[in-house]
Amino acid sequence: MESRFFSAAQLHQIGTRSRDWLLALQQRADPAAHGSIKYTLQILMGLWICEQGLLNDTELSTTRAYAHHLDQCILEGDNVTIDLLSSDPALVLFSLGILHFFAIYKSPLELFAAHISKLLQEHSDQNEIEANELFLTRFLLQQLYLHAPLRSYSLYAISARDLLNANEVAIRDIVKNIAAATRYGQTMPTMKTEETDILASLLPVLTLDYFRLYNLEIGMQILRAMRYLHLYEHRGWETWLQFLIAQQQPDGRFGFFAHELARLHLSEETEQDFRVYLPHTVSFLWTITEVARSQFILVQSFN
Amino acid sequence: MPFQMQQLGLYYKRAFSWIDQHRDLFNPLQNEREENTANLYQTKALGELGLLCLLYQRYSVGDRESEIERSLQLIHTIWQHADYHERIVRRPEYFQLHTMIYVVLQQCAVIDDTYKAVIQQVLDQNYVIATETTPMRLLDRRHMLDCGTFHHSLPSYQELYKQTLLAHEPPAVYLTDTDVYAITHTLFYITDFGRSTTSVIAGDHLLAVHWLIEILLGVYLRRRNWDLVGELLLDCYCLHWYPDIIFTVAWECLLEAQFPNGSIPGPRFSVEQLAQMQDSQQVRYCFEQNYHTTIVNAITSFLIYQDLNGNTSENLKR
Repeated sequence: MESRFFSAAQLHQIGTRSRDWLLALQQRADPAAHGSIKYTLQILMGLWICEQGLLNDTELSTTRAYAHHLDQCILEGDNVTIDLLSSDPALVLFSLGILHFFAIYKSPLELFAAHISKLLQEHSDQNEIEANELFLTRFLLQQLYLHAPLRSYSLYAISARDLLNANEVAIRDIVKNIAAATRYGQTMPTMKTEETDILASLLPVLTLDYFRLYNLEIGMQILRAMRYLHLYEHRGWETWLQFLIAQQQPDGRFGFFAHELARLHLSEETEQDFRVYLPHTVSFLWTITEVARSQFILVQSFN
Repeated sequence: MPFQMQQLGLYYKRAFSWIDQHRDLFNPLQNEREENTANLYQTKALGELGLLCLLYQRYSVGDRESEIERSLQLIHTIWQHADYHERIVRRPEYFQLHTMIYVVLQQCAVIDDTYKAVIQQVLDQNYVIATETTPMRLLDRRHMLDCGTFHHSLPSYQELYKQTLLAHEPPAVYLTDTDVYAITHTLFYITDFGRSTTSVIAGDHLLAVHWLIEILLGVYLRRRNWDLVGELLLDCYCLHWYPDIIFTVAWECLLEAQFPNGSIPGPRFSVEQLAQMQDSQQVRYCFEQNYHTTIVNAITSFLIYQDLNGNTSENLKR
């Protein structure tokens, strides 16, 4: 599978390395025993992206086996329900979509999704920020047939000055707004030429700035937002993607975070893997896959 | 362009005014007891003041503005000290710093070229040319020698440029501040500060250079590093290319960053640190921290003001 920015060999290497690391991680330590079901579901999501997105593996054998393992051993009992309530709803809903793909239906997750669905159907968003914040959850619910069709979201009109000076909180909001307004790249909102020019000119600046600061997560979120806006013409793409690939360790983990781990006082290897490397690896896989495959939209890939 | 040209004109005039009011602090001879390093530091500052005068002169028709005139008088006064201009002969390790002063005065028609033969003799001994330095500094060396019309055996601009960081189109994500200074200066010298077009930066490479300058300008605007913002804008002038959105935002920010006295804060300037100092220390601190950024932005705003007003530099070809 060749793509605009990657060779088939590169994509294969990224996918196999990551899959091996995710498998080794769940075999080495029971994710559910480390405080939350979140890690279990993040591994499921990571395996899914590797096989469905990067390796184009129609059998999805590893993900399938892991999903059945979850079905039989983990996703049962009162603890799971309690755990779900404190988890990221979007992660739970996305995992539910993957389980449905394998015809696995687990009561705690189904009930959780129904509960979230009911809450959101009755909820009126207080403002645009909240609407953007909840868009992904609503979008996933709709993919699971648990939400009415979504209204259209408009793209913020941001001045060049404000965008250039945006802090991390503001940038997180902006990329969520772009995802909502474009439905993850499926529609292009009406924009004035000037607004398009501002985003095309300044999103690359923000990407570069965060990569230079080694804040890879924000940098990748901005890259995905650029992809949703179809801003592919920028000369930076190739550099950034090569930079990102260079951040994958030989064992498949993404990032070189010894500096951050020391500051977090995380000395235990499994804790480091679950709390730092796992979310970054999943985000890396998400970014690489959506950039490599222009038709791939992760959050509806289970349908 | 949303910002007013008038504001740009006022910006450089205020910067000129601050430089003028602090010109004594550029004098490396003001305190003979000072150590060699302090003296060299001020000679560097004097050279930068000279560069401002030199680049101003290229656009000058008729009388020079009084601030520039007084700066040239100061530089001339210093040059007239024999123990200063003899440093070119006695301390050739600092040849470039001191020869720059000669070049400025000669180019601005303050002195004739009588001393040129002495400087050429130093060059002909083959020490200055042979000393090791970075490719960007070699471009700097060649540029200065060419401005002074000295004979030398340095490789061509094209050959020197090939060895620079910029020629290799480095990935922006890894560039340090020092690397970015190397890039900005490479463009100053290879274009003779915007006076010449160069065939080595053309086609797809030119687009890559444009991209790099634009994105770095954005990053340093976010960091509020007015020193590198000024240098990157000066690169835009050198290429006679102004990226729409970032160029306008950059000037809006620079106009706001300028202090009422006309200076522009350097990257290490700290209001908190300043507040802890006695009055006598404060003037010195402000000068040391801000003089370079102020000169860079004075040059940049002056040149861009001229360029956007359609004024052309005399002698457009090297």
